[in-house]
Parts: sequence; C-alpha cells; structure tokens
Amino acid sequence: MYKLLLSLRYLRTRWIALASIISVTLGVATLIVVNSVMSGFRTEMMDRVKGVLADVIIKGGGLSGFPDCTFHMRRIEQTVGDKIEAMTPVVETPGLLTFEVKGRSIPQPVLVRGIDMGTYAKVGKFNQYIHEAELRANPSFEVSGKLKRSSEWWRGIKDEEPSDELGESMPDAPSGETAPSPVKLGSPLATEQSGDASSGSAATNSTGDKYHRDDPFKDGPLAETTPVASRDRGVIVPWLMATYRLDGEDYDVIRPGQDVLLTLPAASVGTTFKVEGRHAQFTTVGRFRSGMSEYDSAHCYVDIRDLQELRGMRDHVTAIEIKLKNYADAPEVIRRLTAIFPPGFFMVRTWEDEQKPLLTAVQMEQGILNVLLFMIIAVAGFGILAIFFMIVVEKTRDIGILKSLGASDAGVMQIFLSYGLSLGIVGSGLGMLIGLAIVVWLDRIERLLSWLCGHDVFDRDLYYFDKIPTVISWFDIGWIVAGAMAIAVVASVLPARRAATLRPVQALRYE
Amino acid sequence: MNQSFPLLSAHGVMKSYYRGRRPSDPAAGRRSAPDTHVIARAPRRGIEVPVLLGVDFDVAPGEFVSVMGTSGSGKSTLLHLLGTIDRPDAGEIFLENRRIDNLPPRERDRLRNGVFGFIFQFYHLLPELDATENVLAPLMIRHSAFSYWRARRQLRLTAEQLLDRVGLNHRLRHKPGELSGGELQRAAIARALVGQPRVLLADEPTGNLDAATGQDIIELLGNLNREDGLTIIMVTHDAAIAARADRVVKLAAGRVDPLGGRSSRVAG
Repeated sequence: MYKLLLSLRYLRTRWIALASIISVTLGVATLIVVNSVMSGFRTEMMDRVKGVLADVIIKGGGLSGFPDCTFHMRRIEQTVGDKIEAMTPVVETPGLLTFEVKGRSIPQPVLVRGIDMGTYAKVGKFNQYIHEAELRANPSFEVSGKLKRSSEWWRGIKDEEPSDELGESMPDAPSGETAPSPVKLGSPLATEQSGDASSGSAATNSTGDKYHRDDPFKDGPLAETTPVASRDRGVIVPWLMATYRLDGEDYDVIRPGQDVLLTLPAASVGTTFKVEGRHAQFTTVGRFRSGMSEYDSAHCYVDIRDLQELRGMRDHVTAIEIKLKNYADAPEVIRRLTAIFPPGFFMVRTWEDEQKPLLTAVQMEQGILNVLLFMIIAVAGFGILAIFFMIVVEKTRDIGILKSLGASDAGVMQIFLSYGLSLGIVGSGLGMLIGLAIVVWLDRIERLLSWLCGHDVFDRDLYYFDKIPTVISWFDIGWIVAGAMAIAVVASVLPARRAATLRPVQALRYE
Repeated sequence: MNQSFPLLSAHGVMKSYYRGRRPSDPAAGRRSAPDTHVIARAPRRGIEVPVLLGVDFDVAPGEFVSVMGTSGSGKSTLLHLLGTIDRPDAGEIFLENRRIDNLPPRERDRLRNGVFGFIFQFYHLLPELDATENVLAPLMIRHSAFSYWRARRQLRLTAEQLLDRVGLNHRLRHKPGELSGGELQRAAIARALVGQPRVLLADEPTGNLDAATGQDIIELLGNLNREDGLTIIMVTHDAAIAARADRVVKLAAGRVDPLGGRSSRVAG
C-alpha cells in the first residue's frame, strides 16, 4: 500500500519527471499518426489497384492469346466454381492512341484492354472509374446520340455544331492557352476568340472554313487499311492522357465524341515473323479515371469483340479475370487453377502478385519508419533512466527511513518500478490522445499548415485524394502504447535496483 | 522491573566501518567515495575504523535505558545493531531467547516493523506524506494493499488517536514542512508507536531541539515508559537528558564502561 501511495505522490509532486516523458508522448503520437496515414495510403492504393485489376488473373499466349475461352471458363467453373463470384474474358495488348491537338496528331503509347462490358464490371470496380456520370449509369461502348453527332462533326460529315452538353462541365482553358476543344459558335465570345483559339493552327478546312475541320484520317494511306471502318466504335481513353491540370483545374485534351486512332499489333505473326500494325478509328465515349496514375495514363478500354476483330484473333483472349467471393481463398484457388492451367503457357496470379514490387516497397517503408520512430521512444527511455537516478539519489534518506520502518528491499524497488510504470502510462496515454486527435482532425491541420507555410503541404494534384486517407488500427495502437510503457518500466529498473540495495544506516545519514 | 530474563541483549558485538576507495578507483588523488558503504555488497576496501570492540548489553522489559558516550563512540551504531538496521561483524544480538542478527532479510524487516520503533535526531519523516500518513506508514508496510484498504478506517483511527496522545491532534493533515521541530519529533514518536512495538529505540531524540522542547519530549517518553511499560533505549550525549532514564550505560573505546553510571531514579 505504501508503494502505491508513494509512487502516486511522486508522480504528482515531481514535474521534472514529466519532462522525461515528453519524448514518450511525442514518440507515441508520431507513431500513431504516421502509421495511420501510411496505412491509409496503402489501403486506398491497394483498393484502387484491386479495383482495376481483379482478384485472380489467368494470362496466356502472349499477344496472340489462347483459344476456346468458353471452354476454359467452364473448366474454371468446374474446379473452383464455388469460390467464384464473377469471371470475364479480356484481351490486352499494347498499342498507340493518336489524337489531334491543335491540328497536330499526337500518338501516345497505351495499354489497350478489350473487355466485355457486361461481365467486366462485376469483376472489379470498373464502372466506378468511368469519369462521365452518364456513362457510369449506363456503361457501354455504343456510339449513339450526342456522341455520334459529335463524332460526325469531327469527321466533317455533318455541319451541325456540337452542343456543349457533352462531357462534364469542364472549363475551357483561359484564352491564350492551347484550347483544343472546338470553339462554341453563336456564343458572344466566339467572335473574339475565333481569332486566337483555332487560328495559329492548321486546323482549317480545305474549303477555308475555320470552324469545320476535315476528317484527319479521311485521306492518306490509313483510310483503306481499316477492314471494318463503317461501324462507330467506342473507346474509353485514359484520364491523364485526355486532360491536363493547371493550377488545380482540369482542361480537356480529348473529349467524349472526339475521334481517335488506335494502332494495334496484329495477333498472328504470319510467315514473315513480323508483327503487323492495324489501325482503326474509335470514338471516345468516356474517360477512365481510377486514381492510380499508372493506370490513368495508359489504360484504354474498348469492346473485346472489336479488338478481336481488328487484330484477327477470332475468339482468342489473352486473359481471364476472376473475382472471388472471399479473397482469403485466393491461395487455394491459385493452387487448383495452376493444376489445370499449366505454367509455361499460362500464368495464374493474384493482383498482389502483379503488383508485388510496389506493395513490397510500401510495406518495407512502413516497417522501417516504425523502427526509426520507436527509437524516439527508446531515447526517451534514457531520459527516464537519468532522471530516475537523480530522484533515487535525492530520495536516499527516505529510502533509509522506509527500510528502518520495515520495508523490504523488494518493496522499495517496486516503488520506483511502479513510478516508472505510472509515468509510462501517463506519457503513452497522453501520446495516444494527441495522436488520435491529430488523425481525426488531420485535414484541418493540413490546411492550417499550408496556410502557415504559404504553399500546399499535401498536394492534391499529386496525390489524387481529396482528403488525406487514414486508417486507425487499434491493434497497432495497442502495440505502440504497450511498447512505450514497457520502455518506461525497463528504464526505471536500474535506478530501482539501486534504491533497493541502499543500506539503511548510511542512507539515513546521507546528506 | 527487574526480571531475570532480558528482553534484548547484545553479546560480544563488534562493528567496524570502512572509509576508503572503491576498488575501481586508481591510487592517489581521489577523494574517498561515500558510496562504498552506502551500497550493500560493494566490496569494501580501505581503512578499517573499528567502532565497537566487543559490547555486552542487556535491557530488561519495561526498562528505560540511556546510552551515553562521546561523539564517535559507537552509541548510534549499537542502537542500529540492536534494531537490526545493521549487522554486527562479530557477536550476537538476542531478542528474548531468539538470535536476531543473522535472520534472513525478510524476517528482520518484519521485526523492524513490528517489534522495534525508531526515532531519530532529525525526525526522518517522509516529506510527501502528511502527519497522519507518516504515522500510518509502518502499518501500510505491514499490511498488503488489499487488507490495508479493508481496515483503513480502523487504522486511520488508531493513528489519529496516537497523534492525539502525543499532542498533535490539531496537525493531522500537515506536511512535515509545516511542522516545528518539537511537533515533528512527536509525530515521529507516534509513528514509532503505531505498530505497537516492544522496544522503542531513540537516537538523540532531543539533539535538534531547544532545551524546553527537549524537556517536553523526554517527559513524553517518560510517560510512555511509565504508563505503557514501553521499553526504551535512548542514545544521547546530554547527561541531563540521560539522567531521566532508569539506567545509564556509558560507551567508551568501543566497549561498555564497566564503571557505568547510575541515574538518580534507580534506588538500588
């Protein structure tokens, strides 16, 4: 009882000891905040990656793909059907997307993914990543209505002006900047801007009319190479290719309704062992925006049948993507599928395997950061050690008194151990409260810091999040707090032992 | 008062102190480290200063004995040895028939808590606790946290009654910093008595007090001896104070002076 009373009394009366636990408090708070933010980022990122990819992916056949997709899907159904939620075939190929900006044609490398819109949405989060709300509601590659009219305008087929009802309400670039979107006719600014916007460019019609453009693909060698040129084909282009960001605002480069050219490698090499290129015109129906820059700058989606037709693939596919009912079944599913899809020709992987380097790097970063930050608390331990030694020396006489009253050596040691523990509890408890408060109010704090520093601390353009993502893991917090308390107790062991071994007579005489 | 069986006795007790260097210190130029004799089990090296060279000493139950001697004569040391705060280098200490100087530490702790009560020249109250808590300290040590908590009201009452007995019932909540010398010593006496000890060991109880307050204290001790039959062994260098006891024992040259001294109180 005296141990409890004394250690609590010491806690109350010795403010200097609280200075030693400031490090513990700061260390705990920092660890909590950093872990929450890093876990938040990681979870967000993994979520997006997983949404774009699928739980399990079976790839095969290189660019040519493998045949009998239906047969394979039935086999999959038979083997692991009970664990599967949805399946979809995919044809994936690298290619070039050529679009027109200010009269110039710009080819960009893309990863063209041919999907079956009906089933693909069930396997990942594809629908959520379509930027245009209208298309999100009714996802399809059909070019009709407004899109068709706009596409025909682009190609110079029709004379009607495109209405501005397409796409999202995006601001036009400020005048003087490159304004690739067509100028609105009939608007009050038309007469002024007409001088700037499309002037300087070679985008005038062969008839001299500034407002109508020729189909850039009408003439020339490309026009005859497309075997199926008549049907309107839709493409969903990558967001980062279709827009650019300036001072926090997004400006269009490629708009829905705008035509683009896709250049694709043919599927068969033929007798010459050379891969031919195939070209085809597509109409933009929407833009793909997942939040992961890796995908948003390269992923381009078309209907799988169009892709197969253009490349001469018949019914070949390059991958089958699967969504599982419970992701925990993944190892089991992989095992069983690898048995029926022999490696060498096929590759059966999870999305984590696909992104392994990235995920491993992120995890390692978090691990190292945790170790470093724990050092802060360890350093605090030395502070506690030093201050406790001082306190024990100061209390030498009192220790002598206690022993003369019959307190045991162990009892005296326990006084200081419980003093250390109580300091640890106070320090880490306070740290936990501060850390949690920071995590909860993180966005407001970030705004305050940005205001103080004069520039953005958390660059929303760069990070793709509207608010800083955080994940509070009570398990992690528990370990952090327990570790901090343990350090406090361990730090008090040596001074406590010294207190225990003081000899009463000389302790009493200590001046 | 004269009983054949002594309550507390020391036979052939010897004790030395060591003033010197710690083993790790190199040779010349270093001041003696006081830590050597503060920390137990530290290897003792250095100059041996013998203090007690074979002391025989008895106290009968209910006796009030003074131990007198010059400074450095070892009277405090004897007191410490009797109360098992320290251990003799040679010789034995007996409590009634039981040898107590070689008991395991736990047993000795229990003795100090239950059998002996100590008061010191400098009072030695714990500064963080108030008067009542200080008095309760031995009881807190004696009982486990749970049993103390259960009996806390009764124990507190006991402490307050004792404080009243020594004349401090108006100072129950005061901290040592707020008490005068005399009040501090009274509180210390109350603390020494709360565990109902059989022997009160007083080391220069009036050494830090003015003459008048000292008289009060010695009178209080006398009352306790008379009314409660409390055995008291008091160390002092003041002959007048010593004379208030039943018997005066003189220590000189590390031994009990055979000539001794008689107080005026003992008739024969």
